[in-house]
Amino acid sequence: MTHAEKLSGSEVLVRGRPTTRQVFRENLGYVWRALRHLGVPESDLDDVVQEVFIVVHRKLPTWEGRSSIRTWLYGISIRTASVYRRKAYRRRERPTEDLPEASHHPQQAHSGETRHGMRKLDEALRALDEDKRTVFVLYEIEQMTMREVAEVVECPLPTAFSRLYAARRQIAESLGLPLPSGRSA
Amino acid sequence: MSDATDPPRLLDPAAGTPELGRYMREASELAPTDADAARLEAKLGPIFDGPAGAGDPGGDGPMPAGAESPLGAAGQGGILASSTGWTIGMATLVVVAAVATWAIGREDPASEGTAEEPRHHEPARDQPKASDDSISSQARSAEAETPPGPALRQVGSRERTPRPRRRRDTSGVTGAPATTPSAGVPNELSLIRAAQDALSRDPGRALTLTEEHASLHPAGELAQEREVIAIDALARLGRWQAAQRRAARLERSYPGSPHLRRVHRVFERMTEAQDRAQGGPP
Repeated sequence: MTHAEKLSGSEVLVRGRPTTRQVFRENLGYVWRALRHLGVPESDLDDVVQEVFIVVHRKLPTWEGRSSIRTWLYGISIRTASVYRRKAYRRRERPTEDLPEASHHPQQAHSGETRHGMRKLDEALRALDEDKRTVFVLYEIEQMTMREVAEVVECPLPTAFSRLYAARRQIAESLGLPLPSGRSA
Repeated sequence: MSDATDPPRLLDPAAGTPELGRYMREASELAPTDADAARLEAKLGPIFDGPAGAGDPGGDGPMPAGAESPLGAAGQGGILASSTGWTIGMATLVVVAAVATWAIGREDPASEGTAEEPRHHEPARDQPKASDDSISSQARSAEAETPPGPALRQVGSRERTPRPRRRRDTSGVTGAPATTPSAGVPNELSLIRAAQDALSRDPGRALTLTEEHASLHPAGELAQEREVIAIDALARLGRWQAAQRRAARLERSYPGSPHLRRVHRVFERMTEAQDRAQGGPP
């Protein structure tokens, strides 16, 4: 059980609106994982996570609860990761940091196989453009509904589907794996 | 959770993609360790303990607009430090220069403080302040591929200690014959304008003009604009490493500069061009 999970639950909501600390404890895992899969290398993950929660702290009083807090957090995380990635020259100055060396896995030790698999997936995700990657990560890894995904990325639902299918094709191709027929387009 | 119209997810065993499903499952189980979470919470604690809505001194945008980014110069404080674009930045600088010139022209000692005050760009809180020496040293190594430019002025804190008053040298050339205040700024501006105009059709010419500006006005009011144009020109000329090093130096010297947005756009363009050259994604 993760730190966040231990501290989540009924204690989180106070009079309908959580505090930033409660949002942090409840959602750190989501934010951390989303940023990780959206191209933030592990070496910079702490800083970018902090950046997200600073924004959360500032914007929380304006959150109206029209979307779930998770959807709202993903919106902030995506924009933060996007800003981070735009600094292309920074990545190019430190190319060895493009691929995170290790990831934390709560249930199992970092087997070489898992680490290798995640590195391959990282490479495949990095080959996607930003729009496709975001849709893919939110749907396939974060398991949001497509409607939520479209809301987070602020695009029409058909566009989100189109990006998902294109991303699937590209990911499968990058990993050298087949997609089941009828599901790739 | 799925809507009825959602397709089966790749990690769903029923999807019939066991290999892809394994990747997705492992990816979805990644999480920070308890130690990571505790460390992050300790770092953010002082912010969380403050009033919500005031954790960052920024504006209304989705990103903190202040300079207190934990990413330092690399973060949003550097990237989105201001929504001011190139045009507005130029206009602001011209106004600052005009005010400085006017103040000197009056020879009013009371105005010297205003005239002498440089444009301050608040460094990010965690951004270590490089000394002038270190910047010069970095400049020497960074400019191996390019004619050496002058070291950029290091930004300082707004909390200044009193300094002895002295006349501002608008020429920016130590020991050079003083130019008239009214003549110095237009010359500087015309050089930068010419460099900007030449950029798209003749980046080599633009680079030459920035070098000319650097030699005439090494500490001029438009030094940042000069650097941005030079970086853009180097990128257009395919001298990417030189452009990267010069950009890093600019960002280190002016971590909150609004001009960094333009530099980032240059590098976005450069990255796309490299991807195209390598047959990568469009």
